[in-house]
Amino acid sequence: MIESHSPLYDAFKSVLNTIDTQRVQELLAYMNTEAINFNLFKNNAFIERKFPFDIIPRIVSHQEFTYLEKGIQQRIYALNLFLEDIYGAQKILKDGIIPSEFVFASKAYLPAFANTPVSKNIRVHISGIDLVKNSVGDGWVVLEDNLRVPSGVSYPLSLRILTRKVFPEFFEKLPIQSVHDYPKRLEAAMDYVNTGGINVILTPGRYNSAFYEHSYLAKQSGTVLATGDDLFVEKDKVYLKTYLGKKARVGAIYRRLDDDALDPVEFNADSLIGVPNITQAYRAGNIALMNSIGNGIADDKGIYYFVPAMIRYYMNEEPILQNAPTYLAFFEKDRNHILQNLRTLVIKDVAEAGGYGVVFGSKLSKNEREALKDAIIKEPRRFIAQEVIEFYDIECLTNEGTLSPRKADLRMFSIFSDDIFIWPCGLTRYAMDPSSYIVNSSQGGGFKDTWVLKESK
Amino acid sequence: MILISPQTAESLYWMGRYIQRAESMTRLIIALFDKIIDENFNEAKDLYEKLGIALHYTSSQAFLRKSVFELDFISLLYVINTARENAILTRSHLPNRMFSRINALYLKYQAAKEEPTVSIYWLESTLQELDAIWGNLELSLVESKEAPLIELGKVVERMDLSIRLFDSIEAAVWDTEKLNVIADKIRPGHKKILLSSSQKAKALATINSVFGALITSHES
Amino acid sequence: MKVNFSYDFTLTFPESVRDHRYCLRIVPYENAIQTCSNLDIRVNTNAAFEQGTDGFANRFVYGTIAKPHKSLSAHIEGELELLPYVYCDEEPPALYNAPSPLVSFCALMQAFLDETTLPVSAFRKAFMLTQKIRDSFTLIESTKAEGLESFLLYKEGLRNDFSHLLIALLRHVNIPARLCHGFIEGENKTHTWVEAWMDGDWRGFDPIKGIVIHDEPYVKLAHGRDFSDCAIYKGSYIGKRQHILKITGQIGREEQQ
Repeated sequence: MIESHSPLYDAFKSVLNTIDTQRVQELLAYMNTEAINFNLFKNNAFIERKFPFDIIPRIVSHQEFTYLEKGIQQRIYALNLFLEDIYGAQKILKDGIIPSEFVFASKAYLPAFANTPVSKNIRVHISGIDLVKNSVGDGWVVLEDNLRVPSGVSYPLSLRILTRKVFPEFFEKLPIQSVHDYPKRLEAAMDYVNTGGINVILTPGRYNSAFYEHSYLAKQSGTVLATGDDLFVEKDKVYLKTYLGKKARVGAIYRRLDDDALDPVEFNADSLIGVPNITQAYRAGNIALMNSIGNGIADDKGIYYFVPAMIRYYMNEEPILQNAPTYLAFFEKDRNHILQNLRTLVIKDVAEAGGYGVVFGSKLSKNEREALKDAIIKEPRRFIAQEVIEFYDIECLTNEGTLSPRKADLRMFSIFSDDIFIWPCGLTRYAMDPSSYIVNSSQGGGFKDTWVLKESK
Repeated sequence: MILISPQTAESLYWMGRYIQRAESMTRLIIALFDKIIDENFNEAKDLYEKLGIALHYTSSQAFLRKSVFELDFISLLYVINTARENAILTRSHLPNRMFSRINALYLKYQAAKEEPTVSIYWLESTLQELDAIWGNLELSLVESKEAPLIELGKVVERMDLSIRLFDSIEAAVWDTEKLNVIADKIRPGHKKILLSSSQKAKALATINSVFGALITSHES
Repeated sequence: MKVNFSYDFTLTFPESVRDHRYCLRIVPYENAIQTCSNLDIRVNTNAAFEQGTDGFANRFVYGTIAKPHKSLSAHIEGELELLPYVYCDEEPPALYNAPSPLVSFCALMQAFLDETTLPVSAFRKAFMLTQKIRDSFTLIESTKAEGLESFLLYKEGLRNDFSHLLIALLRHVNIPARLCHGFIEGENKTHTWVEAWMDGDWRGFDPIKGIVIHDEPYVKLAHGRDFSDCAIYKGSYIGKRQHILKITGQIGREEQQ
């Protein structure tokens, strides 16, 4: 279902109708030469792939953005406090708001990093919050928090820059909020927590899906792009190797690797892309890592259930943004509900990222349903169930030049430095398949820009 | 402080080499194509033999197909792909336009590969692209620390090909002064490079060791 | 009780390695029942190193040996003041009541538990299980069959297996338990034992010796949810992935003045 008659889309379409379609080809050519890629690994083969995009943006009114902005700021602030607490005094556990075992049994909780103070007490420097707009009630709902290594900023940003060049009419006629300052804000956030030295973006390398984004952000924010090999720890500080043999002290790293790959001494010894002993420099307070180590416990699908409770507990406020109605198999009452209503729910496996562990009860055969029920009974902590949200479609321009609706979500980004900046843009991801609810990039979806409108005079 | 890591320096250098290689080989292939038509059918075969490659073709068009798209490691396609790989790795150090031009050339090659015939007109046009890439280098990277590394690659490759393809150590010697100017920008006060030998192999070895001598790889 | 201690850690590589970054959890723990003095730490006799602590308050030394080498050694000696083995600390006991990387409950363990009736009090439960494990299993120095399932099947295993089993059983009956790694008297190698939390305190149990630890010197180097949190050596190097760890040490009681 497409969102009902929106004056914003009407305004967009009226401008679109004045433009000749030849220019769409021009935009495509621009995007092509920029090699805006989101690479995939399929069957052990590396596939360089342009991230499919659609020219029709999601348009968000100023009012709607202000609402989302406040809601996300509140949510990030609470999640940051949660992480500070859970790796510190653990008051939220002592006060019984979240059952301890939920935290301690999670693989994402890293007790080896308890009581490690972080620069300016910020742990969620960059976040990507995934939202959908429910066609029932028109409310925005948070589907997932991404607090470890969220990606996606550079795609709408690049598309925006090119769209503005090729279709300036939109930007002359509609009050579209500018988004170009994201890289500068990223730089400022790095400066804010920097412990002394240069800023670095640490990339797993050329074959990583989001390598384009790593090099784009490095270029635009004036930071050095480095792989693990380019950095080293000497005594208790981190340095960048330079070709003249001098070493440059590094004070902040925006790291685009998971914790597990970050340090082969402390974590996975097989990782060739990390920096050995960087965790010791981190423990010594000599390097700021964005995002901090151990954030996985806060975007653990099981902990998601408790985020509204966190907001109430830490901030004494009612949550502005809602979670999707969620059931935790861990709790008996919820578990019974799940087992009885499997057909109408979407079941998520707590450990999976990228959408592989998401199962729609309605799509299962009887045998598959029974097998899933057994798994839920056997390992209740692993499963979380949500009501299927009928979220809105957005129109996409097909190859034939017609409009066709696709399910689309919205990932909004925040940068936490001396305030929490919510970027007035976002990665709108749409499913390739008209009947699919799965929009993740790694599963073959496409992206749209998100236009946030300025306040109308 | 120059914030370019040894690995990045190496990628910039090789990007310079491969772009130069593309340029030199394109000119060479166009000239050889001309000769093969009706003047000396074996000219290309003889020249590629100097590079250690056994090349067989039944017509000028077949020569083009092989030399431009098919030969392992030495086809223009391979050379452009490698140049582009290095550009992707060093993208954050390059001006946007420079990267776009290199990528655009790569995309042109991908498209031309699928055509039934190799067009000599198209091949000539790629020289314009390559000129534009070098032009961009001169204009935009004037003060940058990246430019000397790319230029080093360009000059070293030119010297290398002069000797390897045309047996001309003299031509390589003419480039030595430029080489030293660039090397000085990379590492001020380095030891001057001299091409004293008249022996092909020694000269090649000297030229190809210049980069390694200027860069500290931080290996202990 | 005062003890002095001295131990040596050696890591040898059959083939030379380089660019070696290491982290050694070999510094004695500091807590309410164990305090250090006159600590002397050497790495490779005179190599530079840094010190740090992790989230379990395990202390370690770390550093880099860049040049090619075939061995890395560390020597630690000093004095400790030890108090009877019952204490509390700031860590949340619930952390040690959840499954951890190397310890989770399985059917064989249920079978083992079913062999006896457990007493009511936590202390008695822990003591009984400690003794039962000592009585039911044989300690061997090396094995090809790794893990708790093999331990339960073949009734023999390594030091860690004894402690991991006790931890799994204790957690199953809701007694938080953590693994300790360190030195005991009379043994020229490291030992593992268990701390279980009951009535507001951590108490020590040794399932290899079958005792409640009270006055005997048990020198703790590190503790964690299981041995994965305590591993003495963690490192990364360039070279063939093969190394041999050897730790030898002595503790000696000091004469009462």
